[in-house]
Amino acid sequence: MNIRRKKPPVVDTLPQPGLPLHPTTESAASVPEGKLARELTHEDIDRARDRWAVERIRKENRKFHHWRWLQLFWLLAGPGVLVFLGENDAPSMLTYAATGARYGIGFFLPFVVLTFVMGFVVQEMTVRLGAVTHRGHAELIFDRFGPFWGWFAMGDLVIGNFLTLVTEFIGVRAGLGYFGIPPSLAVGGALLVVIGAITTGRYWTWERITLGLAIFNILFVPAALLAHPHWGDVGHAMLTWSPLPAGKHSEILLLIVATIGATVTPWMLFFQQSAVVDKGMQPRDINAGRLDTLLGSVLASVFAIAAIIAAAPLFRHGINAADFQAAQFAQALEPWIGRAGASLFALGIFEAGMVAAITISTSSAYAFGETLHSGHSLNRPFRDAWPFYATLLGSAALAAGLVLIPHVPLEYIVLTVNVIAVLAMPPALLFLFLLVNDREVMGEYVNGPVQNAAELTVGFLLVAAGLLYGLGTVFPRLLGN
Amino acid sequence: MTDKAKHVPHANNLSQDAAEENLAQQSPEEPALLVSVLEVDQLVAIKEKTHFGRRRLSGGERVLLWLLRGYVIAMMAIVALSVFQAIRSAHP
Repeated sequence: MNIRRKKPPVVDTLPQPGLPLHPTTESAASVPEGKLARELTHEDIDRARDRWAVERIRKENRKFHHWRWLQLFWLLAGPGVLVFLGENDAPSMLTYAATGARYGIGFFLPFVVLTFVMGFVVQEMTVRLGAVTHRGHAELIFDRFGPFWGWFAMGDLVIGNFLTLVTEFIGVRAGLGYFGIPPSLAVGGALLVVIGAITTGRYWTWERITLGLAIFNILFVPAALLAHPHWGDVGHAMLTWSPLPAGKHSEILLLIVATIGATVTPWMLFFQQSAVVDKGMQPRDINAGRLDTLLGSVLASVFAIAAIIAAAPLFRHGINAADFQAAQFAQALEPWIGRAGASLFALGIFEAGMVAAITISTSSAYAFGETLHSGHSLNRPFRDAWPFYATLLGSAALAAGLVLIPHVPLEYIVLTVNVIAVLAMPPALLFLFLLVNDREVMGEYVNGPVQNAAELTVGFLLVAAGLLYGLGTVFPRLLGN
Repeated sequence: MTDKAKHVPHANNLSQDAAEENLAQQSPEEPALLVSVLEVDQLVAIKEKTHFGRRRLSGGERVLLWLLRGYVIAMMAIVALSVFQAIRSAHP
């Protein structure tokens, strides 16, 4: 297969304002039948089968079978839940645990909820973009802004995704290491799961397998219950954002920035939009996509709060968790939440790394496939889209291999990966803002003023957090340390 | 927001009633009928041949893009500095 990026034919160098650039209202049935038969692909057939199931349920809805809305949501949900539970990855859950261990139950509980609200604002736009344009995020950036800005966006994604993938396998190794499983077995087994998930050659099946794994993020909830928190403190913290964290300002700022980066990252934009496209969603599915995204953000914020609460006993008992790595959290928690609670915590870290390894490597593969205009769908068999699958497996294998090399200072990667995510986000948000306000691309589904205000607020907060972090690092005395 | 399905024309000589009747099937074997539930630009062949045109960036948008690009590069340098400081404090 020729994987050189084909120069796309320019539809209009100066598009007419107000007109969509592509026919978005015509059914595929309007394509002449002979032409259709020659050009239909395996990907088209699989996607159409998924859509057929959705349309059948919609037809049933009109007969007022009220419970059918649940069936319809079951069919359409997926990208939103996956992106948020995938973002509750190993470094994110460890960041949440670190806030609980260092500052207990207080400010960071409602702050985490705020970060998920920010995440929802951003991710909802990718649902609209994917459902209306049927193009992935990388493809749209390249098409509308050209290869110069496209490769800049890709550069941020590639670096961020690779570093994050490394930390996912660190989490897998550490989580299973608590149970005495050797690193090579843990990491190798995780890689096999990644391979297994994509061998189905079907987006729907891959999505359901990954969702089935992602739901185990719930393991942090029983771990939190075993920590026997004072629920009055939890309620007080959620309502009053107190007590505020006390200590070195630079450490507090680092955790604030890392907590934001645990929720809002560039790979999420690329993944969810491409998943929406691969799933075959259409504009009429946007409300279901919003609900799916909301459900994902709510579930992920609950599990994140659970991780904070689960680690809070370390704060209560004055345990210094400043340099803790993944497995050390579980071991340190064992006296306070028991062997069962510590095991659940460790399993949760393993699950977090496992699911994110699948979703992040898939987001890289989607972006590369869209950039190179080669096949990029989980509905394609390996032989039809080998660059897509090679990118997916290659990035995962490379990250897994790095984790197994002795004496590599992996802890510094874990330290910075969420911070890097926050710092790389503003340019990604600007591209998103420009695309989702582009009436020639989005037509009537363009952003409204409230959505624009919300996104701009998120962007300003991210830039402000990044600048504060930068100033605090270069001029530590500025923060009063 | 209008329901785009209301604007979907029925082609290939299928009547409205026939199309709805066929939705009762698990999934049809005939490809033309099966893909009738997709929009035309969801087809791989159509997507490969059509692309959105290049959009002209305004002066302000270019300035903002470059500013943010400079911000990211500067911040990555600061992150590298932070990691260097961490390594140095761990191994004095």
